Amino acid sequence: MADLRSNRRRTILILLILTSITLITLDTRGGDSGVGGTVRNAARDAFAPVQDGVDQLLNPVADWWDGVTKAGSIKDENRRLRRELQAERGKVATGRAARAEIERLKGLAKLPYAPSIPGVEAQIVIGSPGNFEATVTLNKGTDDGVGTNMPVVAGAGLLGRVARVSGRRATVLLLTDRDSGVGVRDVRSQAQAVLNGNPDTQLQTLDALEAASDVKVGDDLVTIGNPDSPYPPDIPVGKVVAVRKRTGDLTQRVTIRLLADASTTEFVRVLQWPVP
Amino acid sequence: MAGAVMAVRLVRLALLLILLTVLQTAVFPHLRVAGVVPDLGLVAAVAIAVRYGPETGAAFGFAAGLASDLFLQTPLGLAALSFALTAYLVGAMQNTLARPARWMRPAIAVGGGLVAGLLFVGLGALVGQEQLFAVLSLRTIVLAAVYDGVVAVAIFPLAISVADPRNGLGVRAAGY
Repeated sequence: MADLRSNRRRTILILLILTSITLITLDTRGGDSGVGGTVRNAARDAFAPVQDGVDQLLNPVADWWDGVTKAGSIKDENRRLRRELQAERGKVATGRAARAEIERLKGLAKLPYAPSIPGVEAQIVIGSPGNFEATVTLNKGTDDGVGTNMPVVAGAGLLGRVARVSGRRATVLLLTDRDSGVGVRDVRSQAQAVLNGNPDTQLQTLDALEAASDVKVGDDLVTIGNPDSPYPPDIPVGKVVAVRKRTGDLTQRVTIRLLADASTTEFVRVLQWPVP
Repeated sequence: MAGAVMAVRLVRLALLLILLTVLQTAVFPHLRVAGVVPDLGLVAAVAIAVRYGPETGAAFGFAAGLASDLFLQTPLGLAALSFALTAYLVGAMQNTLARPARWMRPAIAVGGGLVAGLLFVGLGALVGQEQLFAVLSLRTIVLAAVYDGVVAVAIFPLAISVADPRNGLGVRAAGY
């Protein structure tokens, strides 16, 4: 009797393992167009109204929770923002920054960059339900003209790209995801490097930046926009905040702060790139 | 009669799965602590494995993992495999020990969270998700496992009660 039970257990376990391996293989090979992709998209669309409803219901609770769990970082952010605000106030006196500020506030429909690229305005509905990916879900999908690999920008700059899309939802792979990589160019020196994602922080490190490159703190970084890249050229990405060069090293360590932060962004624009 | 009881139990478990999926995908992303969320389906699978045996726990873990997979970027079936194996291991170990006290439930959930996290990252790296195989993943696994332990206080009694084959349509408090 005990043997029978033991055999049954083993059979169930083996069946589950084989089913999982089959699913993984099919999904890896089939991608979005396979059975796995179709089932995923159907599930996401089916849960979309529930997510919307719960999101509206929980907004005040979520705000309170953010206040509780991010009190320290909010204080730091406040200090940083105050410093930036003071700097901006100085510029306002000249009138130029005031105009730039007004332009920014005009909204996503008139972004100062990529003016010729059509786009779809969308709202971030929710973050990832998992622990090993940096993604957000948008309330727009293929029904609204959103497609896989399209770049997503917030007012300040590049946020990521659409990794998966269903009829009513799009999942954006953020620049901070470990699977994300984007070629960037220093506007001042024209030095080029690769930005690979590092989760949970707006501070990122550039890879493959030659030691001889003349990169300085305060430099602006934009996308290179290679033909095989999903990103168009010249989209603002970040600002250099630290440069460390060591004698003898072939590369230098450059830390940047990303301009767009998904945790403080509500509305984004999906750029319909490449333009059909 | 046995068939009807089984059918009612399956319906209850399916409803539990839907509830946990809604909580996981629509509520807990708002309730991140230190950048992590708990795996509610995993905690429920571990609870069921501890109380009703490794095969039941593994089957529920597979279903819960598959539901999670639908909303993740990693390959479909990866979380299902990790959750099923974890629930089976926890259930099999539990069979060799005395029934754990209530206060041990969070510790069991933490252990399950650690095993499932390591399996997810390890198996993920094997199927082409090399980006998961990073030192930072260890921190994520530990923090998420601790969060699993916290939610186990609520999820364990709920899952054990819902999965109880003696339960009718009503839900009654389960306990040891």
